Amino acid sequence: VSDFLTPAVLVGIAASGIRLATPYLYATIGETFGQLSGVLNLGVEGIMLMGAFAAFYVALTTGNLWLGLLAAIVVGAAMGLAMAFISVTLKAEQGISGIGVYLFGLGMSDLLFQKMLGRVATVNGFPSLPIPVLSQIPYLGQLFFKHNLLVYGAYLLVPIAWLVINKTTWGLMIKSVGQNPAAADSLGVSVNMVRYLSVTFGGLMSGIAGASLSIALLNVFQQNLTSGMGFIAVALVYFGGWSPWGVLGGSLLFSTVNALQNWVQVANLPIPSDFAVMMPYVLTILALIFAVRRVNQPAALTKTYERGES
Amino acid sequence: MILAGALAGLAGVTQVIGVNHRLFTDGSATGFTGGAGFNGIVAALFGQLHPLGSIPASVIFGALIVGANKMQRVVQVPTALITALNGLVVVFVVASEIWRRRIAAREELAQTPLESRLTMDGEAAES
Repeated sequence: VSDFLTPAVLVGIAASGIRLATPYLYATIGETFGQLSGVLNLGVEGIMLMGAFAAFYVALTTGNLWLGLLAAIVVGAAMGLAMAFISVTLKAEQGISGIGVYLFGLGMSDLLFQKMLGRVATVNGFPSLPIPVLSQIPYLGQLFFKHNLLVYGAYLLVPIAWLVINKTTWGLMIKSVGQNPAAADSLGVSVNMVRYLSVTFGGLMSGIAGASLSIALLNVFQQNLTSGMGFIAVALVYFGGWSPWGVLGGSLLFSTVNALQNWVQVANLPIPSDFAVMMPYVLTILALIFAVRRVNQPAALTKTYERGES
Repeated sequence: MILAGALAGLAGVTQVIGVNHRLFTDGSATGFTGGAGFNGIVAALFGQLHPLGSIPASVIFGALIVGANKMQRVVQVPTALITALNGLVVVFVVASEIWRRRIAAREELAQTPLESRLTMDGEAAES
C-alpha cells in the first residue's frame, strides 16, 4: 500500500484518468445535445462500436488516421440520422429503439470485424503530442500537456459546447424544443429539424468517441471494444445535469475511478479484481441516486411531439 | 419492480442450472445469458405487454439465438449477424407502432357517424 502514496503513481493514475475521459467526453457532449432537444438516444454504445470499427478499418487499410476519423464521423452521423428518423419521424419509443440501435451496432461491428479483418491487429494511433515548454513542468506537464490530439480536442469541446448551448440562438432553439416543443413550434422553430440535427450531431460525436478508443487510446479493435462505455455516457449526461461542465466533472470522476481500478488490478492488492471492476459502476449508480439535479432535466425528454396534440 | 427483479433472477437461474449446468463467462459481449436480458425487454413489447403474448414472443427470440449458434457451427456464419438482425427487429417493432396507431385512429374515425364527426370538428375549431 505504501507504493500507492508515491507522487509518481498518483500522477500516473490522474494522467490516465484524464486520458481515459476522452471517449466519455465526446459521447456525453453529443448525447447532451440530443437530450437537450428532447431525444434520449440509448444507442450511443452501438454507434461508438460502429465508429470505432470504421475508424480502425480505414486507418489500418489506408494508413491515414484522419481518413479513419472521417469514416467514424460519417458512420456515426449516419447512425444518428437513423436514430432521429426512428424516434422523431416514426415516433418510436426512444428507450427501446435505442436498445435496438445498440444491438445492431454491437452485432454489425463484430460481424464486419470478423468478415473484413478476421484477426486482431493494431494501428499506430494518433501519437502523443507534448506541448512545448508546458510539458516540461514537473507533474503538471505529465498530467495535462502530454496527450494526443483527440484528447486535447475532447477538452476543447467542453467550453465550445457550453458557448453553443448558452450563448447562441442555436442553443436556445435546442433547449426550447426540449423544454416545450409546442411553444417552440408556435414561434416558428421547426421541432423536427432541431431534433434531427441534435441527434445526428450526437451520433457523429459518438462515432468520434469510438474512434478515440480504436485509433488514439487503445489502437486495437475487438468485439465489444467499448464494453458499456456508451451506456455510462448516457448516465453521465444525467449526472452532469445536462451541462457540458457537469458532464466534464462526471467523465473525469468516472475515468479516474476507472484508472484507479486498473491500477488496483495490476498492483495485486488483496481485493478481488471483480470488485475493482464493479467499482466505477457502483459509483455511477450512487451518483445517479444522490447527485442528479432533476430540475435541469428537459421537460420533453423522451416525449414525441405531434402538432395539435396536448 | 421487486417482482420484476425476482423474475429476472429466476431467468438467470434457469440459464445456469437448467440449460448450461454451469456458470461461465465466455468473454463474449453478451455474457453467459446470451443477451437474454435485453431481448426480454423486446420480447415483452413484442408480446403486447401481455403475459400470454410473451410466450410466442420469447419463443421467437429463443429460436433466433439457437438458430444463430447452429448457423455458426454448420455454415460458419458468425452469431454476430443475429445480434445485428436482432437490433433491426427491435427497431422495426418499435417503429411499427406508428402504423398501428394510425390505423386505429382511422378506424375510430370511420366508425363515428358523419353528423357527430361534424360536431366534433366544430368543437375542435372553437376550442
